[in-house]
Amino acid sequence: MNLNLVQRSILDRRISLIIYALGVAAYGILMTSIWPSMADDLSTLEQLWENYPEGLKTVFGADIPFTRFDGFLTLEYFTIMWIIIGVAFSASVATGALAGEIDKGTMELLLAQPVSRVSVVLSKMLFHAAGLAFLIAATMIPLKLGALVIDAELSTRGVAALSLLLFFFVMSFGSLGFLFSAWFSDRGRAVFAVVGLLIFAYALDILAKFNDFIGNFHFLSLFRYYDPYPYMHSATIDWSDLAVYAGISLTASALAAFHFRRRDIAV
Amino acid sequence: MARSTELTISCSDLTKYYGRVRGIEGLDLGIRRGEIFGFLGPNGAGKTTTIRQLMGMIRPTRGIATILGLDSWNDSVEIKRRVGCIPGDVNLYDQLRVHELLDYVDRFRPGVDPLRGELVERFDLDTGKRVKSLSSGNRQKVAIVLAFMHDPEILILDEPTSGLDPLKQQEFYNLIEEMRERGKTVFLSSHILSEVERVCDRVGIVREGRLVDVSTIEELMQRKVRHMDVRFRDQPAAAEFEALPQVSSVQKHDDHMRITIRGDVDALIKLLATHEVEDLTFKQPSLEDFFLSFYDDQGAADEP
Repeated sequence: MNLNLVQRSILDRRISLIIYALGVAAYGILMTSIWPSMADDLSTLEQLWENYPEGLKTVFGADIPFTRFDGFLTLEYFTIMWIIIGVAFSASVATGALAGEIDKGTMELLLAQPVSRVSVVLSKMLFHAAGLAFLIAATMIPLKLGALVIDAELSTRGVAALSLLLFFFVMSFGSLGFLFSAWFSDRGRAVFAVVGLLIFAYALDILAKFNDFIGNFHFLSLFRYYDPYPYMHSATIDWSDLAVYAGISLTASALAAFHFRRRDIAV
Repeated sequence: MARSTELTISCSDLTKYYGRVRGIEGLDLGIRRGEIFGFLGPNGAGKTTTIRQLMGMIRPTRGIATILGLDSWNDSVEIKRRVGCIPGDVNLYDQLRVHELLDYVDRFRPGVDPLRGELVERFDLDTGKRVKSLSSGNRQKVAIVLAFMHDPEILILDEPTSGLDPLKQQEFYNLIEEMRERGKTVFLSSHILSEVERVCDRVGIVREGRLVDVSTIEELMQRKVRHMDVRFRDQPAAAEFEALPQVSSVQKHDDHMRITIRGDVDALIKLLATHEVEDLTFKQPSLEDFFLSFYDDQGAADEP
């Protein structure tokens, strides 16, 4: 691990990190601010939800109560919206870290310094993990404060548990992003691979709910292990799901470091 | 400073293929401590591939390269503590200001930048500018400062004067001279014959991925074929010049005579001084001219 590299990553990414943080915080504040007007007319809301087609309810999560603040946030924010933002951040950092530097030709300058390739990978991964934690904090703190302001129920333990799930879930995408980044010399291809993986995982998750045959392959989708409502509502942590994400993250990170250590760096 | 016989850079059967495309093949080379070694060859000859292998950027397909006795691939981190490098394609961090870039690279070797201030001044660098706003010549100057500022034992430089104006080229040659006096080892690739003649002690000539010759500068000068175009007021006989052992041919044209010479020009100059010379041009040969003469020699030597 090289602190100079971590510090450089922070300085290089500070503007985009702040923009991402402001974005997630603003979206959370927006959701919080519209909840009181919706809560005033819960019966209409409930009716609206009941009238949704079954298929649509299955896609969004049939068992999530739309009429609770934590359910509303889960459906409106954490089912897909936050995931897109989180994975976009993660993909951007991971693919820029290795493939981006090779693509721009700066990796040759970096590796002309006394720093090992494994240290380069680990330092950039550390920044990625810290950046992701910051993004989650920038999401959750305004939500919790907003809930206090509007006097809505939002368990602190639930927020912490969901933060853990979001961290592990997005880390798995980020680690796979690092693997693609270590593999390709072209950042665009690495980004394409992460985005493709996200779309594949989401599509497989949805299709598996409707088709028994595809359901046999549901375990291949990273969304299969992502069920945010129990975390948010009752702080129920499914450690086996987190273990899957941790396993994917550790394996992908190790493979990324291993491959990057052995590969040629040619502009 | 006298050069030792200890090898600081050594390549043994060093070979790199990119798939089926040849980079460099079977390179055997030894560079002594304190030596300024030129690696001369046209574009695509394998110079950059060799340097990338020395710097541990690419893994040899076969063979080994060592620097200070350390394997360039496996011991790359330790090597880089003691080596300064200018890569072939200088790509810097565009978003940074020059001083930020220097600070960033400095921090990889904390407390070791004895030459930074002096080099910034000598190469007239404006460290407050953003890298992206620099011309290619100024980027090259930044690359020179980055390579030299920690006062490394060994310098590996890939076409280091590329993009520099003549004044800064001269400053760079002065810097190399100082490195020589301080006993540093320099491995310098170039496709400019006059540059390696000027600064190097020995030259390795690489072509189409193979090292075809290693010579001292004196040997290189002896081998080099040059053309002298002379316009006379009197009309001397060509045979007078052909009689000189260094002259390989004389061609008479309408208004001038082209004398092709190899090696020392002293005898020719003395002979010219006995005539009335109206004009004289003596061009440095291009690298391709040099290679043609070099291969002519090799062809002649190979004939039974």
